[in-house]
Amino acid sequence: MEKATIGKLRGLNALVADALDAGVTRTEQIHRTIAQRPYAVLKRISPVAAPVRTVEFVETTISGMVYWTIRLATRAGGGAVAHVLKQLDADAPLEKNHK
Amino acid sequence: MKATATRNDTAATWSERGVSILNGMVGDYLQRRGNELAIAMSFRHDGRPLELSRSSLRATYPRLSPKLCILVHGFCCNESVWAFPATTFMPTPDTYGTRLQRDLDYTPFAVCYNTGLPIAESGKRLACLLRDLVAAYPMRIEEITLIGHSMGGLVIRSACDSALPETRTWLDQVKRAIYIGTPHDGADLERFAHLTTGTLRAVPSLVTRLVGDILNLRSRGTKDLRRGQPLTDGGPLPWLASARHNLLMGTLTKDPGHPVGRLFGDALVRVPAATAGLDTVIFPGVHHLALAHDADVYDCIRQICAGE
Repeated sequence: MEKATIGKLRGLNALVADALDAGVTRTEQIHRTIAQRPYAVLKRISPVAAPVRTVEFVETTISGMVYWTIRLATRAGGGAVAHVLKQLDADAPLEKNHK
Repeated sequence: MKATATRNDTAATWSERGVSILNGMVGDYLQRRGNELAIAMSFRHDGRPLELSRSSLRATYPRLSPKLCILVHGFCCNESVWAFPATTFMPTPDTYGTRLQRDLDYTPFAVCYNTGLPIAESGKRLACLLRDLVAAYPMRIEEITLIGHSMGGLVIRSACDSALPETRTWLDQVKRAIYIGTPHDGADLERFAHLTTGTLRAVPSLVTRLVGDILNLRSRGTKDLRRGQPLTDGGPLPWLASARHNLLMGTLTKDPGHPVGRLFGDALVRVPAATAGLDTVIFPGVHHLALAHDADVYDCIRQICAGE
């Protein structure tokens, strides 16, 4: 494989990682915004306000950890691909000069 | 063996096309992030960047001419857009450039660039690239003809406008500029995308705002097509006074006066309303991409270049 091809694969890997990261972040924002609405309504009702706050905290923490795990797995996958490409790049023959 | 080489070349061609489309869509982002998919502007020969040195130019073009033609492709394309459809495998594709070389002794240079960058930025880079070409060219240049397809025409106008005193060395040699399917008055598709994005983002809903935000990720190069000129600069791009300008436009319909042809032009670009003082030729029934490799369009280019 030529160095230029490996460079493009590296670029594609970085772009996919960026897109996944941005996608996960945006999904998390939308999830938070939607999830906040019922909590905001329920927290106005005095008898259930305290348990609702607890449930909201637990749910937010768990979902936050899930998103964090997805982000970590994405970055780890991207890093692994980048490492393989780095190895390939080191072994790749020098490119043919144009004319 | 030959079949394998052809198959590999085809795969490489499609991969290059994919990268060009990606550059058109998000090329400014790729550039900002230092992504290796971002295309650096260069002249291409046989699918590879051409080194601008005397020895390289002599080796690439055994018969150099004092007349140059520069081909600048359009949005989301690369230099392969100029290739006439071939029924058999050809090591060097047949293009307007190679035909001008054969018929009128021009030396052709095809530019490849990141079409997602702002048009003004691409113009500046083209001005520098032409300065480097003129400096490395092994003989005195008598004439430069600039040929731009679609966005390429706007990049040419921007390059002529942005050429600084130190990069003007090539400007005096430019005798004519030929714009093929260039949206000098802007492109309707980008106007529609702009309107849609604005509407979706204005609606107070998470989903529509998200779709609007995704649509708004399109590159600065795309957004510049809305008005047919860099959006950051106030005034319209001037026409290089010392050169002759020709517009070659297509229409979807065989009858250019047909309402569909007038409304949709060549499917992407309509004939500019203000073409006073410019030589305009319309090719009925030739759509936007076909304008870059059409026999009738070439005949017209040949006549223009031959001064007929």
